[in-house]
Amino acid sequence: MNRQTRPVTWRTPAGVLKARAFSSRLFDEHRSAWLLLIVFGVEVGLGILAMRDLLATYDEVESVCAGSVRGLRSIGELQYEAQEARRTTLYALTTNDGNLQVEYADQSRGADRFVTEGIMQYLAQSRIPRETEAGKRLASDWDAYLKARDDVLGLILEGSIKEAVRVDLTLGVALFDRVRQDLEEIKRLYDDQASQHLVLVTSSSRRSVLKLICGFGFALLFASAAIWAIQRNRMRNEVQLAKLQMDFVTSVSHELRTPITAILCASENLRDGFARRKEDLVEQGSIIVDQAAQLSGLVDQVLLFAATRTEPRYPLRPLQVSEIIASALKNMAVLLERSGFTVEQRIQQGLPQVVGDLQAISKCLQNLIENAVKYSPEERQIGLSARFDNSATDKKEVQISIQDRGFGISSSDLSRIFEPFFRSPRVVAAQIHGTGLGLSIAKSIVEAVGGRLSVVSEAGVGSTFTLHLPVAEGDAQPDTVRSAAGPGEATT
Amino acid sequence: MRLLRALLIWLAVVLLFDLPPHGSVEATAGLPERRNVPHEILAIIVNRSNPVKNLTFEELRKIFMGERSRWPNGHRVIVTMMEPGHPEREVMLRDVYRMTEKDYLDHFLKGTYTGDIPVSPKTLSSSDILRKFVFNAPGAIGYLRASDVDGSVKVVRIDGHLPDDLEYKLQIGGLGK
Amino acid sequence: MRFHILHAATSPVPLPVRTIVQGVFPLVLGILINTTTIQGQQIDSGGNVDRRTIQALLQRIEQLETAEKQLQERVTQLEKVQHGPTQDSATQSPAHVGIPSETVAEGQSEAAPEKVDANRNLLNIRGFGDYSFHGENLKGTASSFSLGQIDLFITSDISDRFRFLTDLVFEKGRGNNYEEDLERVLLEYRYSDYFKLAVGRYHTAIGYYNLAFRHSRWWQTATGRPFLFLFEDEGGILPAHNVGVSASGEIPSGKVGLHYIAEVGNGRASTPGVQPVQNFVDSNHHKSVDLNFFSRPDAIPGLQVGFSVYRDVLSPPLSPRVGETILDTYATLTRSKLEWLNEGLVIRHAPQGLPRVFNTPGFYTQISERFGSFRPYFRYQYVNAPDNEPIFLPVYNISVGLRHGPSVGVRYDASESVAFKLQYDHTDLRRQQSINALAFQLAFAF
Repeated sequence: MNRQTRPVTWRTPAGVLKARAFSSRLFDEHRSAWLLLIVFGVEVGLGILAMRDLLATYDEVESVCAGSVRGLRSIGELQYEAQEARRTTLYALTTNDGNLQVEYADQSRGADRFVTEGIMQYLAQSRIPRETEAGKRLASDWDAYLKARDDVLGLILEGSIKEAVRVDLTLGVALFDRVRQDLEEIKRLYDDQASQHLVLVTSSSRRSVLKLICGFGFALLFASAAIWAIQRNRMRNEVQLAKLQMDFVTSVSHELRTPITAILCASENLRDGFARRKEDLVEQGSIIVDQAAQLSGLVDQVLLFAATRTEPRYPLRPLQVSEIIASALKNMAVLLERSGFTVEQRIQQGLPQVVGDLQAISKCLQNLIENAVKYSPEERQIGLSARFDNSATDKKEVQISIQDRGFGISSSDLSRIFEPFFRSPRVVAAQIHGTGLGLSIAKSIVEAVGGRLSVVSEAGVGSTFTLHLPVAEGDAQPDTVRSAAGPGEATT
Repeated sequence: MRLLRALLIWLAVVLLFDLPPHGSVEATAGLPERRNVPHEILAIIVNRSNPVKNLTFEELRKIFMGERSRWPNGHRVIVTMMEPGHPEREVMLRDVYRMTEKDYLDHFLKGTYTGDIPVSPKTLSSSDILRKFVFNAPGAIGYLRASDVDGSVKVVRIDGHLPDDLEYKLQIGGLGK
Repeated sequence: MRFHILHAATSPVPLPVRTIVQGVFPLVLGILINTTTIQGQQIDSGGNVDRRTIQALLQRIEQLETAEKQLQERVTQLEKVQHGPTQDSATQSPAHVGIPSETVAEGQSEAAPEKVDANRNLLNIRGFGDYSFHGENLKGTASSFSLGQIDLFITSDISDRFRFLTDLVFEKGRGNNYEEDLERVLLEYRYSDYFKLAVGRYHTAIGYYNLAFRHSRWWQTATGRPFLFLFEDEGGILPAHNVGVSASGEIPSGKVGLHYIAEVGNGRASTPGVQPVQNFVDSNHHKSVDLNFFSRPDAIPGLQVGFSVYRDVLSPPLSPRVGETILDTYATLTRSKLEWLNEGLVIRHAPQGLPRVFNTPGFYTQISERFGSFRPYFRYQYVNAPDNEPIFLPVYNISVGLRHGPSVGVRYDASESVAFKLQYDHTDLRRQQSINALAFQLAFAF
């Protein structure tokens, strides 16, 4: 072959085109699913946002409770114990009994210890400068009051009642009043914090509600749009399918009419006696036979297509690749000879066996060969190659490729060539007959045996169709190379 | 003259019964005797703010007798005693006051009456209350068993000796409490 | 109870009886005392504290606290009547602890400023009293029950350093009447153990007895004071009371234990028929000065030795001024059981412009020993004022002369606060019949 199809890589523009074609095909084929997925994704996203807001609101409420409410309760306890420390000091004034005085002193010290610990805890937990400042002020005033309280207690125990009263009135009252004011200020801080938190909680909940409303609204809108798009897509597909079916009917009718017309003509010639000579009889008979065979092939193809629609099951067994190729070439020998095509074979040595059904896979290969012949009007050579591909570790395959230098397939049609009844407008315009089922049948068959069918094509250059067949487990004897070129066959 | 002679003889007899040996503790009838049994030490305690660290035995006695009204830092001396019945109180009466319970009461009553003693000792019900009193009152002085002393009060040396020293004088002689 | 009154020397006692009294009695007394010594030791041995005594003392304390409380409530009521209702919210007693704390706190914060009833528990009142039954062999006297004195000893700690005390005594007045007398009224300022200042009416610091034993007879071992130290209104010859300023304190002297008392006062009146103690007005410009030094050495517990000097100028009417100097010295030993008091003084009256000095010496010795609840005692006292002594008789209408004699008795402490005393006194007088007297006294504290 003078011209070979260049190997395709992802870095070449052809690779990008291939990727685009792939993604476009994927999107076109699963448009509904994609839409549903998107809607689902949006819903989930919105749901997550709304949940996050709700959780944040809940956390804020909890922090209000923990920080402010419990704080208020702690301050209340501190206020009570501070009063208790003072009260029990004054109780000591009411008795001369040293034992009772010591009991009261003990009670006062117990209460003041509680207050001191509470103040330390408050300072340790303070977050903002205002809290720290208030806490330090309270600690300082409380220390000062305790000093005065200790003096008063000492004087009471010593029996200097009047002096104790004087110290309490001049120092104790004023200092305790400052402690009381400090505690009130801290209480106010807690109140302010609680109010601020509540404002934040309120606005946060409002935001969450708005988000939920927007989210649900958007989701509703998007779902409606998605449903509309899906319905529209389905209708379009159905319309397209109907159109294809109509095209198929038209095409099949045309394909049927052509041989029937030829048969009719030949039969009429024979009936009417226009074919007197033996050569004329043979010619007319050959026309009838050929057209009948074509008619039969067409019917077979339609029937095969119908069979592939119901998920056919083929008996799988290990096959030699050479066996498959020989079978296909044998069946296509007549066509090839008549068309004047030569097949250039490049078969790799030592190919392993593949899994499949000989008849089915041979039929695939035949369809590909037929297409290569049909769509290569000028060039009279097609290439047939087979190689072993073990680049993928989990899946080894044998690739059988049919290359032609025909019309090629445009990128816009590439994604649709395996659809049943699809025929490229270009081919239709070129009045090349066909049912649009060949590639669909070949794809169905090869996928049924665990393989796949791929194509690389460039409009105006040519196409390469590749059968990817899975390697049989436990390799068989290596294949023998068929070196002799038969009619319609050529080797490099 | 006969009368005078008789009186002098009687006086001599009485004095021989009454005069204590020089330098020792008066073993007065009516007070618990020392017994040769495992003993516990009686520590003299003051408030932590009290600058006094050491007292001679005589100074200690004067303080507890009410003959001292103020500490060096100006605070009034407040003597604390446990209620009658406590072994600690009995040790103090025997060794420091050298008095019976009645004499002790008479001494302070008379001292208050004559004006010599401005404040009588405070009587407290237990060692725990006494310790807390000394802790709270800057001028207080009291006593505790050494095992009852904690960091809230300060122990004073007596004649330079701490309760752990062998020469320390105040001991409870194996009594129940 | 019947007492057999021993008659005076004018009804001569037979010689055998006198021998018994003078010779055998002390011996019997000595035997009696010595035989009870062992019993007393047995009573007090083993370390047993008198539980009943403790119980009684505790009950007494409770009674006193109740009485004190009632007196204070009365004082409070009187103050309320005088000044109107006072706020008392801050010192709720523990019985009112059920009031909610907020209410109490609000009450405390709204009632500004807090008021504490600072007048409670500042007055301490201690009382002493005595009753007696006595008789003597003087003509014209009858054995009598006597109410004796009621002495209210009141103190108040005004502040940390100031203290008020008073002896309010209800005693025999004219006839069979009671009269009240503020025997001591003092405001004391105690700066330190080395300096105490008292202002008011006090017991003059002459010697020992006048300071050690005040008005309470319960404190005294005997039924009464030695006649040297009788109070002015009892016929005493010493200026037992004075109005002025008294400074006292310790002298830093280590184990010697020196003390001092220095006084300046009005001295006593020198006008006949007037109150001897010049409470308000001094009759002359001269002030009495008095110094007393004594030692309580650490080496001998219970020992107190000292001396005092009192100096004044008396101005009897229509007579030259008389310089009065009283020198006193004493040595006492007071222990748990033993009490031994010895004191001697001399009163010198020196009229100005005259060469003669009138000295009146006097002394007493008193010894007692406690045996359980019993305390037998013996006292011997002596005073000898010269004839024509210019002050005692002319000014104070006190006939002193020579007096001396023993007193013997026994005191029984029935409880911590009640004492029974039985005392026999024999007093020899110059150119007068001796006096024998017997007295039974009940003295108590409350």
